[in-house]
Amino acid sequence: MLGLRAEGLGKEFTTAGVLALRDLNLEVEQGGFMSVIGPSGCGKSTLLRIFSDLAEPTSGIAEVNGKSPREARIAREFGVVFQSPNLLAWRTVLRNVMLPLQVMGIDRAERQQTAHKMLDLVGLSEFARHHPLQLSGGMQQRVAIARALSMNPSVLFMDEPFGALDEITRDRLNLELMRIWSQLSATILFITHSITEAVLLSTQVAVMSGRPGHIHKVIDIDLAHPRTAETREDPRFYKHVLDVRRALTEASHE
Amino acid sequence: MSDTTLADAIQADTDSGRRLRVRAEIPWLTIVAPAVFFVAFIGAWELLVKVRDIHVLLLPAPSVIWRQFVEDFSLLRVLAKNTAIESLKGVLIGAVMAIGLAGLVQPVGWLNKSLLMYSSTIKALPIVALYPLCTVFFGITSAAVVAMVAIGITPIMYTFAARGFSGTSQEDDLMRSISAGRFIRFRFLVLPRALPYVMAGMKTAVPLSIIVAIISEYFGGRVTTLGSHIRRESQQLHTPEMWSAIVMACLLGIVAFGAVSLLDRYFLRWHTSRRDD
Ligand SMILES: Nc1ncnc2c1ncn2[C@@H]1O[C@H](COP(=O)(O)OP(=O)(O)OP(=O)(O)O)[C@@H](O)[C@H]1O
Ligand SMILES: [Mg+2]
Repeated sequence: MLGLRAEGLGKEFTTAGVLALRDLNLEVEQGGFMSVIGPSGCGKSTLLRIFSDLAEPTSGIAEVNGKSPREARIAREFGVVFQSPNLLAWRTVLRNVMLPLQVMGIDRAERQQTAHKMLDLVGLSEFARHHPLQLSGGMQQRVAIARALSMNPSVLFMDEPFGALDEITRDRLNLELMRIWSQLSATILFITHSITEAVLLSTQVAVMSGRPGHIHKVIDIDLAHPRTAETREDPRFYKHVLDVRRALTEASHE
Repeated sequence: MSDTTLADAIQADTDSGRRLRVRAEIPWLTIVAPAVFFVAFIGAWELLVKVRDIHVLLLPAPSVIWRQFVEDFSLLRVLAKNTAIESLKGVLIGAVMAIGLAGLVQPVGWLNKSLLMYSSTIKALPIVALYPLCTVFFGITSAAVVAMVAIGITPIMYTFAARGFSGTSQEDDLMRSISAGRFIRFRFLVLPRALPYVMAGMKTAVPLSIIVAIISEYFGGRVTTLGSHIRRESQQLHTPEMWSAIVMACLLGIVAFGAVSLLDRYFLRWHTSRRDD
């Protein structure tokens, strides 16, 4: 069974008259980490929203763990990390992380325990009682990751989660994400505009081209795991970066 | 990056978050300046009355009013309590009606829009003029005053609540992605998201409720209330007694506003405007 599968996927925004996706095909192994990169407006967010059942495709099939996105959502098999942290400002950090568990009806003691474990994982245990607006942007995004992970999803969708952060913070969160991914063995679909980020994190990089959006090329990244800061000094890292850059240039001129 | 540097980096990020919580400066200017002004004003008043020898029935000196206030205090306290209870009942009824209505109507766009238009219009009308009608329905009772306050409060609270409920945001996507049902979405997202608006409405509504209550009582309410007391004393030219009742009315307004502000502070301690920066 595949973690994610899209076949002949199409999406048209009829009122706006925009054909966002056409005949998009994609496969991600369970436990795989796929980054999606492509020019702005090519339909990356649309693709992720279809997989996470926030938007309906107009044609084709999307599957998450062999189920329809809707079934997978109701079975709570995936978590979503949005571009902005989307924390509920009136809840403490801990209660934000507990939110999905509370919605699932898990009892108080257990959800507290799980939430504390997730906060540990993202290194924010001592901020459990703070309110989101008392945290920096990077910390808020880590809380959002902890929240997405609290349901113990087997698939994680991330739409430019570190897009608004500075380079250093971003590097650090990338390494943290690698560590978390290796501990959880989840399937991840990760949207980014950064080529180095895509290469550093992924087992595969999908390069999209737009108007209408489709997959231009999928590039396998055969760098060893676990990926660390040293991975960037590997000569193969640069080869992959150049491959992706070339594919992205092609896709932009297509 | 080795494990220790990773830990250091997390620590640095963590520290930068801690630095965000800077203690707010004590606002001397906002306390001291108004206090000085108040003392100067009272002093000038006292002086004016003494120097020009103004008759006590025309304008009593602050010292006379104060003595009267102390003398009448036990009576005024009871009157103020009754007025406060009437306004509070009216506010609660009005707020519950307005919030309930706004919550129910919110999904129906056109209905929400037309109700909003009505409430904005009603807000601009001199609704106290409706008081005689209230007394037709309720007689000269406490209930008439409560009804008047509720009528005055409802359109204000409706506009605020409707604005609070109308916000859609990315948090709606979040709620859907964790498969939250309608009820949970309402309780965990829609209601708290509307709270800043509701509290802003209360800050306007509560002082107004006391004004409406006192005016309604003035035009005919239960005898043991501030409004009817003020009317009686003014009709009998008991000017110092009237002034001491007015002082009590002002105190009541200040206490009510202070109470709402405290509630606001407590409920919205997470809010952007409370961030210490
Ligand atoms: N709700 C919508 N209604 C109408 N058109 C939409 C809607 N959402 C997206 N689109 C259009 O679909 C296309 C793809 O949008 P999408 O947000 O998926 O791009 P993207 O690849 O995520 O871009 P970016 O990198 O800038 O985030 C764009 O042309 C956009 O204008
Ligand atoms: Mg996007």
